[in-house]
Amino acid sequence: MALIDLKNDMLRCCRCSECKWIPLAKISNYRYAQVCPSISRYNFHAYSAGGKLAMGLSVLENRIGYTTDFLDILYRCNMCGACDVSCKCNKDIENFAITQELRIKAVEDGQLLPQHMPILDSLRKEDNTLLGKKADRGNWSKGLDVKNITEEKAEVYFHAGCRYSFDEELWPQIRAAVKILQKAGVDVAIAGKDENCCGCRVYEMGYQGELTKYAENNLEMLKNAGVKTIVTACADCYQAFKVLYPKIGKSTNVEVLHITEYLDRLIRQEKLQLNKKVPMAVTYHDPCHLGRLGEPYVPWQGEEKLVFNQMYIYDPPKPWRKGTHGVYEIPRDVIKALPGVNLVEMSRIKEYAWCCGAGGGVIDAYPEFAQWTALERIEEAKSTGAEALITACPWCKRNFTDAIKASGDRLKVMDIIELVEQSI
Amino acid sequence: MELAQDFYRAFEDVVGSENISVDPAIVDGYAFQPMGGARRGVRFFKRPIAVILPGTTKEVQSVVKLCGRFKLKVRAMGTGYGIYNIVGSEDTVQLDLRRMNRIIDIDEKNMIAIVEPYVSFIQVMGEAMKKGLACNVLGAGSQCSMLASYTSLHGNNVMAASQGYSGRNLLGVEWVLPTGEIIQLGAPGSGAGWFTGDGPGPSLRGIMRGAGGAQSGLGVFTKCAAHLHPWPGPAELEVKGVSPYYEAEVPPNFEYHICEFPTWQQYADAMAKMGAAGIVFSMQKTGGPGSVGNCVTGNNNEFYEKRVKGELAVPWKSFAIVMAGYTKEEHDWQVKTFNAILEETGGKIAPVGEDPMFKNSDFLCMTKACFIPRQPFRASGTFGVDGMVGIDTADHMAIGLEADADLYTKHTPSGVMVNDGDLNSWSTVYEGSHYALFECGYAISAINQENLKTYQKMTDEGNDLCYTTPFANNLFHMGELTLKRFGPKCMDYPKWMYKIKKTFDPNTVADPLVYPTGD
Repeated sequence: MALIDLKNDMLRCCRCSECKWIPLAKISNYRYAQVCPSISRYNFHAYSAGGKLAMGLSVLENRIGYTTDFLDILYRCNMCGACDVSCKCNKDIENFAITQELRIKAVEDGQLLPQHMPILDSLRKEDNTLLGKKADRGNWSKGLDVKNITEEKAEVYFHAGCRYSFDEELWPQIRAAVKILQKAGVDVAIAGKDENCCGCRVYEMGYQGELTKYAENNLEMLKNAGVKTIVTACADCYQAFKVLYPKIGKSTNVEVLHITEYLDRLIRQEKLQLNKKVPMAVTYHDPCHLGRLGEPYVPWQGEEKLVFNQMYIYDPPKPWRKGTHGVYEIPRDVIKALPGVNLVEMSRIKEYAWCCGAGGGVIDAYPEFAQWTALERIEEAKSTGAEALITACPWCKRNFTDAIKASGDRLKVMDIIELVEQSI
Repeated sequence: MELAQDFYRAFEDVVGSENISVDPAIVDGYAFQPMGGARRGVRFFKRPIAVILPGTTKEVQSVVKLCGRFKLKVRAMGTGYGIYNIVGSEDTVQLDLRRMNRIIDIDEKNMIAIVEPYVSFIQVMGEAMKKGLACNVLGAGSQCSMLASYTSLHGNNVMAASQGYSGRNLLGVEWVLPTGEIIQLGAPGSGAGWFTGDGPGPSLRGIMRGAGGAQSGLGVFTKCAAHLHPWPGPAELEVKGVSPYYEAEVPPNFEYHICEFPTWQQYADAMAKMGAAGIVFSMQKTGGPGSVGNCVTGNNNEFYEKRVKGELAVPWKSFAIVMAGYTKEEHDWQVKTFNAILEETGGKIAPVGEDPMFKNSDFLCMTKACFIPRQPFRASGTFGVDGMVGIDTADHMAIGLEADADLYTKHTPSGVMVNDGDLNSWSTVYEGSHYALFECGYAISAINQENLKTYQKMTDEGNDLCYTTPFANNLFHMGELTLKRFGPKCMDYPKWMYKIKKTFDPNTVADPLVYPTGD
């Protein structure tokens, strides 16, 4: 896929601005109707998905070149994919892919965002995006009696991901995840210092080659380990294994599950006993990479074909990614299974959830925008009357926690793992 | 053309550095206008000299005054959907009113909403429904700006039979004239609230928007009050499903049907009678433009597969109707009246609309106007109007639709339009009267330039037909060439427009692209 391959999609945009709103059918109030953090914060049309689509066409037609504003527009986007769901609700256009391809092209053209350079350096030298040392990657697991996949066989490989591995404040919850699995009798192993980045975040920044490299490394490791299932508690890593690797032709027969999916399975199999009451009203934030971006990837090759004279269809039918099959209900099922917990929903949920703000390299390059986006979600969470905002991704938790700390708010932010831990 | 540095700084002083740009990556986005451009084979038009995002009426006023002083022009936009948002010349400042996005008030008792320019219909609808009210939504979809439609365009819509067109729902208005003066029309002009556009206080409704709206050719509207209507349904319509498969069950005391007729005249008679009987919440010819089958499916492949199996076929001479009653008694009366009108006019309920999936999807769209871009755009990327547009009586609508059906049939073999077997023209009646509109548009390729040329020939033929017959001689035409052609057929109304333009905009500060000076 290259930008030019999306030209027909660009020519089929009608500039209706639906990409700026949650799907219109779902709008039921004034306050929480917008869906795109970028256009909501920066306002010029170019910041919307439709605006970036026009930018793509403008680039193809050599109408514009790279400027500082160009790069700001391109990278002040959380790559949350909400625009894609709203646009595709009513059209057959690959809207979000245009932003991704514009980023890839910018990188190929040497238009690198300086704020992203330390992350790339860290990745290339230390195999992580958190500027940590590779030798320290397994420190989060010190003292845990858990197998290392490079030394022992196991049925389940638990992939921690860069954020959990190097964000010490989050270590208690990832350690809890491993302990919960072990308590349920799961034969689980980790990779410790030998774990690598999944490549998802730098791919979103436009570095396609890095994704390929890490996909190959990670899949080779899984193959050698002979595991049946990979479980991760990071939504970004989940999307990398579940969606991005197959998308670039690097598939695996290993089952890919998010921790919420695995916990749900264990609860249903009655291997986890949730006995303790957790009396709390909570609201659930759908992480973008687990929800709409976590839809399973179905390989497709085909071509456009005209029917009814001028209507275009795809032959064979294209398995559209319209947000329909993301992981939405399972995390909610886990929450509902916890005694005492009362789940209250926000206005923008599931396929049209508002992003936490951390994605697409925004938390690294534009931290004030990341925080603005998080605060918008925190306001929405507070409007439900919930005591805690629950998520299922360390990036969301980090960004919400920082935003709450900066704003002096009191809303609790928790991962589902913490709730489950309290209930056992 | 570049904006002089001192001009830039003057504008920047008004709106702040975050809210002005001359960067090509920003301004080119405002030159991109496929809705109207695609059918001409064009995507990019002239670039504005700068884009400015004012946040208040005062800032709008300051920017307009500076444009006058710097001999620049100005064009304002709401949500920016449609070719009338492009600038006519490169010395034009584009005002994007996106930051002016507040619902100032929803006055339940007086059934009024007061809004700023970047409030969409669907936001007002969501809040109004909670108070047992609904707003009149432009046919272009509920994502559009309510203020832009009400103040500056004609605004046909599916609720027209009960609620009229956009301009008929306009009450008080705040207006920044091209001279920079701020005036308030109607009751707010005398500090009496926003409940009417016609006084106490100055009433310039005919001047500020006329029939078709000035389309930003007479300054900038910064606030307006809109009439809200009764909504007998739930405070929040329960919408089930995951995108793109959203549905809403028809609530108790509501009805949704597709009605079909043997002749266009019977079709038109039924529309007028149902409107007059006061039983309509929303009503429109099925299609318009683009198939209803698009509306009730999730993608083109799905629509195609169902359509070739014979599903989703909608009769040509048919309309969809939603009736909404507060009580069982009202509902029973509406159904009885509906059945009596069908009997009188030889109509019957078409089975296609009774399928639960079809009914629940199209009912949702007929209520929230939420699937509009699916209908005309998804199939082929764009649509074109074949020139056959008229606003007159219901009888006139019947003749127009029949003529359009002939034109469509004649040109179908060329393969230029999407032909799914349906006739995707559009029509409605207004406010329970015989006043009616027909509009004949078809899905055409957004990409194939040869097809667009062929379609242009069909459009020219439709335009000629309208010109040589009374079909489309009305007061809604805008733009210099069209005004020159149709004006003499319509009491020379452009002469009055030119006088108004000169009086209210003596230095032509408001971009004259669609509201010309006549010079």
